[in-house]
Amino acid sequence: MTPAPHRRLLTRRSTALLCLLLATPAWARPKPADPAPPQDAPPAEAPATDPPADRATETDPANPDPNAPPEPAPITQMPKVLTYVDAPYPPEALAAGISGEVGLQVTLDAAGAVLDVQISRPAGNGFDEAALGAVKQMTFEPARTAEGPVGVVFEFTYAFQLTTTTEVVQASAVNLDGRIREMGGGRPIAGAEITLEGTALATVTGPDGRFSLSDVPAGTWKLQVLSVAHEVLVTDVEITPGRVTSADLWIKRLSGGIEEVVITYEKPKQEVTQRTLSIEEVKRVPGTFGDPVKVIQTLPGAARSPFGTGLLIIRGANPEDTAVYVDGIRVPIIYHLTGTTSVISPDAVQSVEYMPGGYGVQFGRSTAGTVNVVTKDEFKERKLIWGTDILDTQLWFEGAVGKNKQHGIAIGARRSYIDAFIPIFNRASDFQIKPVYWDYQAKWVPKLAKGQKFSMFVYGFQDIIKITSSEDTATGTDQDTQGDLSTTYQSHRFVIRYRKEFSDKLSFHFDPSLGVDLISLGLGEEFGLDNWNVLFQLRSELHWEPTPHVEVIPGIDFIGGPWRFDFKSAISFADLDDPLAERDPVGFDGRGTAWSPDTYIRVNLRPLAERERWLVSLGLRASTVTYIYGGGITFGEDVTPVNISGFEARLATRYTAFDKEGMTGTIKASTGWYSQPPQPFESIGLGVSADLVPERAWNSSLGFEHKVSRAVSWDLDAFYRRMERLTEFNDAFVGRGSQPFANTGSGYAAGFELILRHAPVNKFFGWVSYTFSRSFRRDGSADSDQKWYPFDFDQPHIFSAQGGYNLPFDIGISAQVQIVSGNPDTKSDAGIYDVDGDFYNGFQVGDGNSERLPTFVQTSLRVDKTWTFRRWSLVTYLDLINAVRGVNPETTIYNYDYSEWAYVRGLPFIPNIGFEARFRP
Amino acid sequence: MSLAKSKLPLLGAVLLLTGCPIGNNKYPKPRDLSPVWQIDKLRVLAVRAEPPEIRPGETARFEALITDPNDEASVVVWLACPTDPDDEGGIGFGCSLDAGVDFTDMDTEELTEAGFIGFEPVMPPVYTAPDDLLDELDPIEAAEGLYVLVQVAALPASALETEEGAAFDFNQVEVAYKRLIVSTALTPNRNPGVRSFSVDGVPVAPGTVVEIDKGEEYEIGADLTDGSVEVYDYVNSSGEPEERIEEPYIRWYTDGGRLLEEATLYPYLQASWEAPVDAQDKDGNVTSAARTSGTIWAVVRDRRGGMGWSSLQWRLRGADEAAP
Repeated sequence: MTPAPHRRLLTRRSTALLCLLLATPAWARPKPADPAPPQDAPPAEAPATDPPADRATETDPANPDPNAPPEPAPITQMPKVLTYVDAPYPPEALAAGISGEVGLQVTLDAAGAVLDVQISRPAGNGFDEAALGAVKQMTFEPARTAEGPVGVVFEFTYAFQLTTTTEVVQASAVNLDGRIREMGGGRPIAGAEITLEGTALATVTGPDGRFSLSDVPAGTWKLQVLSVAHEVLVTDVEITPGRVTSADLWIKRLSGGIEEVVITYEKPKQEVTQRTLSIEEVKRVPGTFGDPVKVIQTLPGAARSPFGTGLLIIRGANPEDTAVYVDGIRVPIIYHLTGTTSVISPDAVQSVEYMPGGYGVQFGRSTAGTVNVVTKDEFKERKLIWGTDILDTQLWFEGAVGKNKQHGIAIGARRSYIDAFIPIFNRASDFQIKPVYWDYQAKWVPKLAKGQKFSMFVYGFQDIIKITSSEDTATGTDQDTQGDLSTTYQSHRFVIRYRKEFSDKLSFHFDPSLGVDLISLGLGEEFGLDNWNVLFQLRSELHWEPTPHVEVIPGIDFIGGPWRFDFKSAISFADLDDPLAERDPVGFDGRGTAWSPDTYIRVNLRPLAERERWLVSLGLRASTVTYIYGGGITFGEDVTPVNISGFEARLATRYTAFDKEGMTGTIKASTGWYSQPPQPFESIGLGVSADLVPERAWNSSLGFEHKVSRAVSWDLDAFYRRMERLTEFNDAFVGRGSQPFANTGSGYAAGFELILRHAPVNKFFGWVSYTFSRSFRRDGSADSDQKWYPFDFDQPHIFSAQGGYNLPFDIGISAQVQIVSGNPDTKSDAGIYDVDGDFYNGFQVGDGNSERLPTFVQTSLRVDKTWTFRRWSLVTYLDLINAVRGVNPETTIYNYDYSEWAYVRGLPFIPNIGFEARFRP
Repeated sequence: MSLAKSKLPLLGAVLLLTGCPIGNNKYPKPRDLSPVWQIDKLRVLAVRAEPPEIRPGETARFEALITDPNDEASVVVWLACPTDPDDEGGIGFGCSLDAGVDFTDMDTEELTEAGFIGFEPVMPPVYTAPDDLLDELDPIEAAEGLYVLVQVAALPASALETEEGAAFDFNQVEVAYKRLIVSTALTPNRNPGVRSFSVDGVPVAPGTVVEIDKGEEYEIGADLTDGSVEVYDYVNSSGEPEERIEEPYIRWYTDGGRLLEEATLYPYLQASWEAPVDAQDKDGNVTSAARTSGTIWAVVRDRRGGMGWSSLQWRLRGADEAAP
């Protein structure tokens, strides 16, 4: 053996310790080596407008500024070191043979970039400069709250340790090395602190999760691994002289550690209110099938939709008055026709913006609420997710691929199989309902030069609902109506998103999309409706901040394209009332184009020095749509295009009235006009140009939100909506040469919404929401003698409570209770027999919608258990939907002569069992 | 304590909750609604006009198939009123009477003038179309014809014997409408009819009471009378003449047992019928499913206003002939 050279060996050890000065979550552990005193600090802002030095001054806890900005939400994930940089050992310190520790205050922005580093505890001897230079080059994964990544200021300790020996040692003195990875996928853990109990030996893992220790004395030592958001690991390692011990260690993520955050009740900051829920909460609410979009139905302002419909009913309005968007691009429906899940996979969703009212002019063509589903646009880590429950199964992959991981991609698909199960459980019935749905999503996000973002997103879905009967079973008494009843709905979208930042004050958004919607309805061979629309949409905005207090956003919201429908029927409309009419099959088509180039401008004013304290948002929107008709619908006549135009002005404001150590109280208000053109089919005149104007609503709201503690907050909103020019059936309609619909209806809605929320802190999460809402409408012109009557989905009392608790052994339990007023109902109590038609005509009792169905009561329970293995994790769950089996009538049906009635029951008891496996390939 | 044991109370609570439906019996269920084939009260099943189409000045006679499981005598009031051509077949609220007129003092002619065309059992319903009924229509419209609405109100005779001052129970009144076609059509419609029945393919002679075994399933077939499936001329909306064939169907009814098909379409004119079994409802009453004898009715319609019917008597094998 060749003897090692005698030389002076310098072993340098640097230890990096993170201690957040900001909010510390309950599960975060202070580092034993450095219990830095907590200080308050605001999130980092753009350095040009809010330099760190100023910020430090503003947030001095000894001199709290009464005008300080609102405290951010609790930190749910600490910043992590992504790229660790070794500082050069200062020559003078090396020469002197001394060690040292430098305390640094690091300011990170929301992207994890180091904005500023200040020496808080100098060590001298060249250590300060060396540590400063190294930390400035390091990269971090940003800290996160439930609202997403945030900027933070935190304490960072950089330690230099020098061991001097004159002994003869091996050239390589490392005798303990290893790697720390996260269970459930093997993700390397950077920045984890490694210590050996009973020694001064310690180190920190690098970006690849690797560590090494030198000169560990022989024997058995307890090795401790400390990492934020992970369980502490203590394990024995045995050091044998002359040998290198390798430790491949796996640590488990804390159950409270939130990996991803989905915001399900967030309005953009320009909007009146902002509420957030985390993915942990969303996935564990029973009865929602883990779908973040479904969770909307537990939030204030959202009425309960009938089982199996998936309708969005906001503040008592009709479902068609609420607009649904995916990444700002309008889509026809957001839920599959079963109403159980949304058409976008939950794994694709980054956030859901739910705006029951008071939203800005960037959203138009709707008079009630708006929902915008925002999909993920960052895929850094590779994940393969497989989820299965009683409804469907889905696969999802995302990750960065290519050289230097330049391309973020995601691809997923889902397919239901309840159509296969229903016949098994329903063998006795002659009729089978067979719903089938599938959807897919694929996204590509390449890395571009700084200041540019680009993504390409393709998604679509198909829903088929068939009601079939055996071939030898007659369905009714009519030859023409024999056969299967089928509904097919198909929609596809191709969306490009492009962002260009010219400067900190000017950026450009450009989102074109192309889509196609196909709808097909059929009954046997004799009745059918086929409709397709090709839609080109463009949303483009310019964001300009001429001063820190003014933001101007002009934008275009264009939608248009060709449409066509073909209709056939064994009986003409004119003969529907006459059972003895000779069947004269009819068939006609319609085709044309629709163009709607809306423009808008938003101005956000932040008049105070503390910009976020008071926001005033003004908006103007010009709406227009032109329908051009052709085909059989014109009866061969030259029908001039229908142009429907409107103008909207909106105002919203929010003001933080007080802020005591992050406990804030904010007043908010909004008012403005909202309009939407009549539905396309309503705009058709039979052989004439329809004379219609947009439906219009004046929406106003006033509210107050109060953050009581870091966990508890409440939010109260009162609203009023006056509706005018509602489109309804035209009393003057006489068939050809007239228009079937007219703007003669009116209505109003009023109420208040309250939510009380406990954020996921100390193993518990939950929220209670209550909405009082009344909505009435009147048909006919204002001077008619028609009575006011409730909208079809007028639900005065909507109560929802849900909560969950983390038990030991990674078991979670959660429960949900919903108590909602029944929908209005129109009763019949007698029938007169039409002998020729062989049916009874029911006689209505009282006015329309004057009765009400019984109260809806639902209680659902969920138990889940997470198993975490080295390379993957598995969540299994049992979701007992409607566990207490409330009867929950959805509508009234009658016997043949209306002398007896019964309720069609909605939500059944659904024992949903499923699992979700997550791999990190 | 093991994990499994610690979860037992939770699992028990879940099972308890899932086994207790809230309000499950509070409201009637759809499956509890009476089926249309079940005759358990006074019903008007069909109304036949003979002939089903007449010309102005011609007379039609009417007959109603009225069933009552209690075989109680019934009273039937008949009204007739021509409809507005613009109503396109809708019956609206039927024939309206002048509420201010005292009908009790009217003679037969005055009653006819007011719209009364029959009062059974004393006055069989008859309607004669006025000669000028179609005068305001052009020839094409006259060939299509006009509807005369015939309204039938049936009630148990005992319902009229209410004490003085007591409120009349309108729920006992069964009301039905039929359209009588008055036209100048060259090929007027004729009523279809049910000539005979078969049980499991074996023809049953008219008037025979079929003996059946309780709980057994039988296939009841109906044979239509000659001419029930007519060929007729029709001018479609394009003005082209078409020759069409009627597509009749049978509606089945019974006062005992259970019909598995309530309607069958020509040419498949058989229905499965399950003979009664000894059964009682939850209150201990013998239900219609437990009758020992009864009737199956078959009503055939040609969808053009023509209809006919017949009935099949059955009795459980070995049952007392006098038993219900």
